[in-house]
Amino acid sequence: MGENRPTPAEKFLELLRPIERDLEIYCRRMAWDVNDVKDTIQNAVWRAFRAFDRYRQDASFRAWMFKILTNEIFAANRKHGRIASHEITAESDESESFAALERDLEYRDWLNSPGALADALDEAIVAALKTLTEMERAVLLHRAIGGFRYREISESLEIPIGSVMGNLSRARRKMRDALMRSQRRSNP
Amino acid sequence: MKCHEARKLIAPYLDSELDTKTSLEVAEHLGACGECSRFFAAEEKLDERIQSALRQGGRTPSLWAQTEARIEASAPTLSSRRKIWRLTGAFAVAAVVVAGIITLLPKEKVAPDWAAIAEERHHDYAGKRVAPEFSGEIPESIAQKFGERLDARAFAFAVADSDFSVRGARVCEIADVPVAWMLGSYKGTPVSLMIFKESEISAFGELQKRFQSGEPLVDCGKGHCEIIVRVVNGHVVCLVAGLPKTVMQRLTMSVQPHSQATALAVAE
Repeated sequence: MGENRPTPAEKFLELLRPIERDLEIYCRRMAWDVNDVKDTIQNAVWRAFRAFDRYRQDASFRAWMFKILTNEIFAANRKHGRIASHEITAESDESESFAALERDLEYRDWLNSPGALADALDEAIVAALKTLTEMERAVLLHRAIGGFRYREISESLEIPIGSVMGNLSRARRKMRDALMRSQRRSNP
Repeated sequence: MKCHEARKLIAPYLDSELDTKTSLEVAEHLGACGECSRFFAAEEKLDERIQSALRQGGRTPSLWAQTEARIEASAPTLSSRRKIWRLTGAFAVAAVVVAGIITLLPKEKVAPDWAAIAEERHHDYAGKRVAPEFSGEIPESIAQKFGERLDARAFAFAVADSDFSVRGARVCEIADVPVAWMLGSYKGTPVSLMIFKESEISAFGELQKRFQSGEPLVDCGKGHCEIIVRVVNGHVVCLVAGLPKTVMQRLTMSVQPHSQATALAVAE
């Protein structure tokens, strides 16, 4: 066709631009220290660009970038020593079993109230993320922000699909519990 | 299916991770059991609420400008490499010769991933970065641009569902294949209907393989969206949207060629 072939940098940026927002939101939600976000993103993007010749073009660029960024975030969080030890304690006395929640009329009523849709709840939801372990948070955010399927999450985080489902289920339960606690505090 | 069996499957059902048969069994149970139906609806609502809160936020232009600039400036890195080569002149000559030979070698062509591209395009539409270019007859400028490669019949397909409406159409070129792209919505959710000639399917190796393996309805969603593909009257018909798999399957099955049923007339 006589057209100039795009350079690897042009090709890379063409694929990167549509997902920049999602990558940044994911990194902000995952990083323990907000000051790490800039460096983490820049390191991940540079690392991905240097490995771009190994990227298979029939694979999802989005999944590939999320995987690289996740590794970079885990490394940055590790530097702060913010690993599972204290995160696991987030499972509080108030944690209810799935079956108990199922019967929880309060929870059901709250979900159907206008308060459940209020903007102020966003803050509580983001804060509730801190009650999750790093892996639970990664799985939940892969699903919520990346929109990935279980298989893709399993490949990205290098964990079995059963662990993806387990982490996702625990993450959702903890989020629900944290939101209920926040709701009780604001409406005693 | 019993209540406790259905409830055990709530997460994969809401995440559209169940196979079609199990998904239909759960849907049937929900249709018959009001209690489970309310329970699933409450869970879905909470999930959507959490997801929407977690997805809030924007892209920081300065951060990405800096990040992109580093990639764009990657050429100087190559220059510094060349300086080293200059020190070993003979090696540089050899490298150039080798590079020349490599460029002349036939390159392995990687088949583009239809699902990934279709999803990216749909995101552009859902994110309001792309709008319909026309409704009614195909404009002369578009017809001229694509010439005989443009398959006007592809614009004559429609989703036969009263809740589906078409906002307009455009042509998108994917791997040199001009694809008819109908931009529509189903109960307010953006839906992309993409259609191209079945004879062009070889451009998308993975998709072709799926059809060759005998799957009548190919589900190739891999991100935010469901992507369902089938072949109708010599055309590959693909529906992309963030809707439950069962709805998508039903809508895709309803796609048929029409003549004057919708606003999109075809100039042939």
